[in-house]
Amino acid sequence: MEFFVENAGLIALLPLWVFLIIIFGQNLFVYENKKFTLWLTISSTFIGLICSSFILAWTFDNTTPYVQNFNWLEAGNIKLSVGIIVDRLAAMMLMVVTSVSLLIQIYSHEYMNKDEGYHRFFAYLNLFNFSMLGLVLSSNLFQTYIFWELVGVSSYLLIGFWFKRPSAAAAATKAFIMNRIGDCGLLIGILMFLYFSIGWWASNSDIFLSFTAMPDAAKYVFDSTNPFLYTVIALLIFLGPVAKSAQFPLHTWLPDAMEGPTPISALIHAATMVAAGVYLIARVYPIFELSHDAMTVIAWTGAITALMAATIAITQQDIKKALAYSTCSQLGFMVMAMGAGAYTAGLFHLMTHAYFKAMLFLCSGAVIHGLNDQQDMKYMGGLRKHMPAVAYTYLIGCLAISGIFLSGFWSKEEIFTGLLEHNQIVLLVIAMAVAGMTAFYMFRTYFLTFEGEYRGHEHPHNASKTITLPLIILAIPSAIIGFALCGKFGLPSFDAFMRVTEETVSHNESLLIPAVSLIVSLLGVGLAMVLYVEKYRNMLKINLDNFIQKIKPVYDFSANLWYINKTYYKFIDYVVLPVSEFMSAFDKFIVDGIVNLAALWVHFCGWILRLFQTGNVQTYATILFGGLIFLTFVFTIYWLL
Amino acid sequence: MSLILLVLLPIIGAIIIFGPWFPQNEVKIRRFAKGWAGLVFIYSLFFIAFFNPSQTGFQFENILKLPGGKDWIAPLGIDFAFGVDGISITLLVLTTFLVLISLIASKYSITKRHKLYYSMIFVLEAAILGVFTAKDLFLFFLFWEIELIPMYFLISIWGTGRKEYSAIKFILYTFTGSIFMLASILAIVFYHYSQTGILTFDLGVYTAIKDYSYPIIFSILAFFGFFAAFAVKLPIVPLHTWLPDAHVDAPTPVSMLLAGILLKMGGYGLIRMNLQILPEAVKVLAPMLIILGVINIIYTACIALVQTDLKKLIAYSSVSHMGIVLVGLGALNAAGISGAVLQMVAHGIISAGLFMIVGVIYLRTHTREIPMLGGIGQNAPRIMYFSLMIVLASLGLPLLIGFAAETLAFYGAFTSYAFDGFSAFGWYLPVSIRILTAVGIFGIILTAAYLLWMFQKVFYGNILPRWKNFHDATPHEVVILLSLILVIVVFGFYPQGLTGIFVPTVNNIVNLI
Repeated sequence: MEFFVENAGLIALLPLWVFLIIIFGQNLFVYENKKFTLWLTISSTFIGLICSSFILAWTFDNTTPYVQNFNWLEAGNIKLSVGIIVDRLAAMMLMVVTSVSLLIQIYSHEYMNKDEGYHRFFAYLNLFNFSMLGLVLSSNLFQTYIFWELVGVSSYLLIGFWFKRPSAAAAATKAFIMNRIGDCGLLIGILMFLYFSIGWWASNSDIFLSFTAMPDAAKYVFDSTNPFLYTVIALLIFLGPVAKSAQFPLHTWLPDAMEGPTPISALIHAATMVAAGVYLIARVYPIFELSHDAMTVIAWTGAITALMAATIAITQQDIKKALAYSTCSQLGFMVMAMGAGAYTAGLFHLMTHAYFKAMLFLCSGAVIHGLNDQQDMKYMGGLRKHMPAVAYTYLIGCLAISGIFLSGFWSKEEIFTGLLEHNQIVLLVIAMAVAGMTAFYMFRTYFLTFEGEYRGHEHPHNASKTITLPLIILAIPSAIIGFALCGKFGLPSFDAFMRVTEETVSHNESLLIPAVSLIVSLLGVGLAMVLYVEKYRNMLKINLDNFIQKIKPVYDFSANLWYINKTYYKFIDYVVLPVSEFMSAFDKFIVDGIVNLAALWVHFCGWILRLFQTGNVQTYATILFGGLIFLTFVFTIYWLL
Repeated sequence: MSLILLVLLPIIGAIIIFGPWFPQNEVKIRRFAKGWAGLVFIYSLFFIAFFNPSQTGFQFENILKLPGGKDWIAPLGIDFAFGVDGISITLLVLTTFLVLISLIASKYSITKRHKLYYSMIFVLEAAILGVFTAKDLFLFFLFWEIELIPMYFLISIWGTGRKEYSAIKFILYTFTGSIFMLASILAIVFYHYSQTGILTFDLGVYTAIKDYSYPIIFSILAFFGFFAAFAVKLPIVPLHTWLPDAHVDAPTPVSMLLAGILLKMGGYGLIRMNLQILPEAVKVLAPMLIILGVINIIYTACIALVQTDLKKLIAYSSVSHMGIVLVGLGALNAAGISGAVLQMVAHGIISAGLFMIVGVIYLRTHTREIPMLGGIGQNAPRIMYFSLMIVLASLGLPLLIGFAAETLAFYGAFTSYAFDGFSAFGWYLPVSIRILTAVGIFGIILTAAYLLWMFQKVFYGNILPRWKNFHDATPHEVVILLSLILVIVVFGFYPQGLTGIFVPTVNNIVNLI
C-alpha cells in the first residue's frame, strides 16, 4: 500500500499524459477512433480511482501525512517547491474527484458522441483532472495557487467549449476574470503571509508554506502581527475560495458557466472544482482558526450566499440555472459550517453534495438531451413516463439535497448540530430557513419537469443505457453515504475520521435538530406540491399566476438575481470603461501631446529661423542695415538720456 | 569561443547579403539569412553550454587589440572589450533566438527590397549583441546608438501607416535619452580619473567596486542620466508614447524584435549601469522605481482595456509588463531582480508571439481593428489555440513562463528590506511600498480582462461572413508559433533551467549593493 501512497503523484500525472496523447494524436492525425480517446481517458481515471482507494485504506492506519517535495524555484531567500501530501483530507477528495470523474466520463461518451469536438472535450476533461488532482495533492499553499489557476483555465476552456455561441464565449471570459479577482486576493494573501513568516520558514522548514507546518507558522504570524493585520491576511486568502466556490459577491460567474456542456456543469461546476474553495479553507484552516473576526466573516459570507442563492433559485425557469443557484446555496452551507467551526460537517456536506449534485446535473443533462437541447422548464412536464430511470434518480437526488432521510439529511444535520454547538443561533435559523427553501425549489423543479402534463413540442426520447448507468451508480452514494458514515451503523464515522485533533466532542444527541430540519424540509416539499402539482392546485383553487402577481416586487427581485449582475455590468460600463477611456485620451492628448508640442515648438523655431536663411544678399544687407540703424537709434537715446 | 566573433558574425552576414555578388533572388536571400541567423543562434548556444554560472564577474572576456598590442583608443582608456555574465548571456541567447524566429516570420510581411531588409536585420542583431556583451562603457554607448540606424530604416521603409513619423519619433526619443547617458558615462569616468588618476572605460572596474562611492548628489545625478536613456527604452510612463506608434507602424517581424529584445536593453541597462555602478543612488531611489513600475502596470493596463487596434493593445500590454521588471528591480533583493530578469526573457518570448499572432491575422484580413474581426477561431482552430497559449502565458498562468517571473518580482518587492533604511519616513514608506505592490498585483486582473476580452472578440463567436475564406496557419507560421510556445511551456514547467543561469550573478549584484 505504501507503493500507492509514495506514487500518488501519478494519479495526477496520468491524465496529463492522456491529455498530451489526445492533443498530439489528433493534431498529427495519428488516430481517428473515438473509442481510443474514451478508453485512454477512462482507464486513466479508473487507475486513479483504484489508487485512491488504496490510499484511503492507508490513511485509516496512518494519521501522520505522507509528504514528498521537489524544488521548483529558488532565488534569494525564496524557495518554492511542488510535491504531494497524502492525508485523510486529500484521500477523501481523491476518492470524490476520481469516482465522480469516472462516471461523468462514461456519461459524456454518449452525451458528446455527436459533437464534432469529441476529442477536444475529452482532452479538456483530462486537463481538468490533472489540475484538480494536482490541487488536491498540493503539499504547500503556493502549489495550491498554481493548480488553483489551472483548474480555472480548464473551467474557462470547458465553459467556452461551444465558443461559436457568443453567450458561451462571454460566460467563459466572465468566469475567468471573476476568478482572477479571487486569485489576486489569494496571491496577495499568500505573499503577505509569507512576508510575515519568512524568518520562521527559513529556520524551521525547508518547504515554504507547507501544509504540515501551517499550524505553527500561522501561530508565529499571529503572534508577530497585530490582530487586524492578521485578519486582513486571512480574509485575502479567503477571497480565493469566495471566487472559486461562487460565494457572494463573486458568485455571478457560476450560473453563467452553465453555458458549458452539461457533464461539465456536473463535474466542474457542481461536484469538484467549486468545492475546491471549501477544500482550500479546510487546508489552511489553522490560519483562519486563529482569527475570530475572519471566521465570523467566513460564516456570514456563507450564510448570505446560501440565503441569496436559495431565494434566486426559487424563480428560475431554466433547469440548469436553478441547479446552479442551488449549488451556490449548498456551497454557502459548507462555507458557513467551516466559518462557524463545524469543520468536519462542512467537509461531510462537500462529499455528499458532490454525489447528489453531480447526479442531479446529469439527470438534467439527460432531460435536455432527450428534448433536443430544451432547458426551459416551461416546456417540460410529465417526463416521468418517458424517462422513468432519470425521473427516479432525480427524485432520489431531490430527497438527498432537501435533507429527507437520504445523504443530505445526515450532512445537514451535522451542520445544524455544529452551528448549535458553537452557539451560532442566528446562523442556525438562517440555515434552517434555507433548508426549507431548498426542499421547496428542488421539488418545484422535479414537479415542473417530471410530473403533470408534457408542455413541450419536441418528442421526448428516453436516455440510453450509457447515460442512465452513471445515474444509477451515482444514486447509490447519494442515497446511502449519509447514514453509512454518520457513525451510528457500524461503519467509521466521517466526523471522527476527518477530525484533526483527537479531542472527543460530546455530541448533542437530542432528536430536536433532526426532527425540526425534517419538518422544515417536508414543509418545503408540501408547499412545492401545492403550488406546482396541478391536482393539488386545483383542489385548493390556487391560481399560480395570480399568486405571482400578488408578490410581484419580491418575485422580480428574485427573478432578476437580486440585480447583482446588472449592477456589475453597470459598474463596468459606467465606471471602469469610462475611466479607461479617459486615461487613454489623457495618454493620447496630454502625455503624447506634450511630446508632439515639444517637437512642434522646435519645428516652429526652425521655421522662423528659416525665413532669414533666404540666401539673398539684398535681404541680408537690409537686415544688417536695419539692425545698424536700430542699434544707433538705441544708443543715441541712451546717450541723450 | 569568441564574443567578438559572435558580434561580427551578423555583420559578415549583412555584408554577404548586401554585396553585389549575392543574387537578387528573394527566396535565396531569405534562405541564406535564415541559415545564417541559425548559425549565429547555434554559436550563441555554445556560450551557454560552456558558461559557468557559479563564477562571479565577466566570462569569455575578449579584447581586440590593435596591431602592436595597443588598446583600441589607448589615450582615452577605451577598449574593444567584450564579456558576459549570467544576465547578459541569457539575453544574448534570447536575442539570437528571436532574430532567427523573426527572420522566419519575414516571409509574408516583407515584400520589397529584400537585400536591404535582411542586411538591416543583421546589423540590428550585431548592435544588440554588442550592447549585451560590451565590457566597456564607451563601446556600450556606441552599440546603443548604432542600433538606432537599422531600426529607423526598418520602420520607415517596410512599415505601414504613419511610418516616417513613428520612425523619427522613435529615433529622437531614444537619442535624446542617450545624450544624458553619455553625460553620465563621462561624469563617472572622469570622476574616477580625478580620484585615482586612471582613465578607463572598463565596465569591470566600475561594477566591481564595492567600497568606492561617489558623493551622493553626484551619484544621484549620474543615476538620472542613465535613467533617462533606459526609461525611454524600457519604457517608463510618461516616456512611453513612442512605443505604441513604433509598434503599430513597424512590420510584424520588426515589432517582434522591438518588443522582444529592444525593450530589454532598457532593463539590462538599468541593472548594469544603475544598479551595479551606482548602488548608493539606487538605495535612495528604489522606492521611485517601484512607484513608477506600479504606475506602468496599472495605467497602461487600463489604457489597453479600451484599445480597439490589436497592435496598440499589445503595445500597451508590453509597457504594462515592463512595469513588472521595474517593480522587481526596485526590490533590490535577489528574488526581485531575478524576477525582473526572468520577466524580461518571458516577455521577450510572449510579446514576440503576440505580435506574430497579430501579423498572422493582419495578413489574412488587412485589418487590426478588433470590432471588425470575430469568430476567426471557427476557421482557424490552430491559430486560435496557439494564440490562447500565448495569451494565457501573457496573463501569467502558472506553469507557463510568465508566472514564475511575476511571482518572483512581486514577492521580491513585497518582502524587500530596501526601504526600511529610510528613517526620515518612519514606517510609512515600507508599508506604503507594500501596499503599492499589492496594487500592482491588481494588474493581473486587468491583464486577464483585456487579453481575454480581446481573445473572445477576435476568435470566439460566429464567424463574420467576410472572413469566410480565412485560412488556418501555414506550416511556416506553425513552426514559429510552436517554437515560441515550446519555450513558454518548457521554462514554465522548469523555470530553474533559466534562473539557474543568472541567479548567482544576481546574488552577486545584490551583495554589492
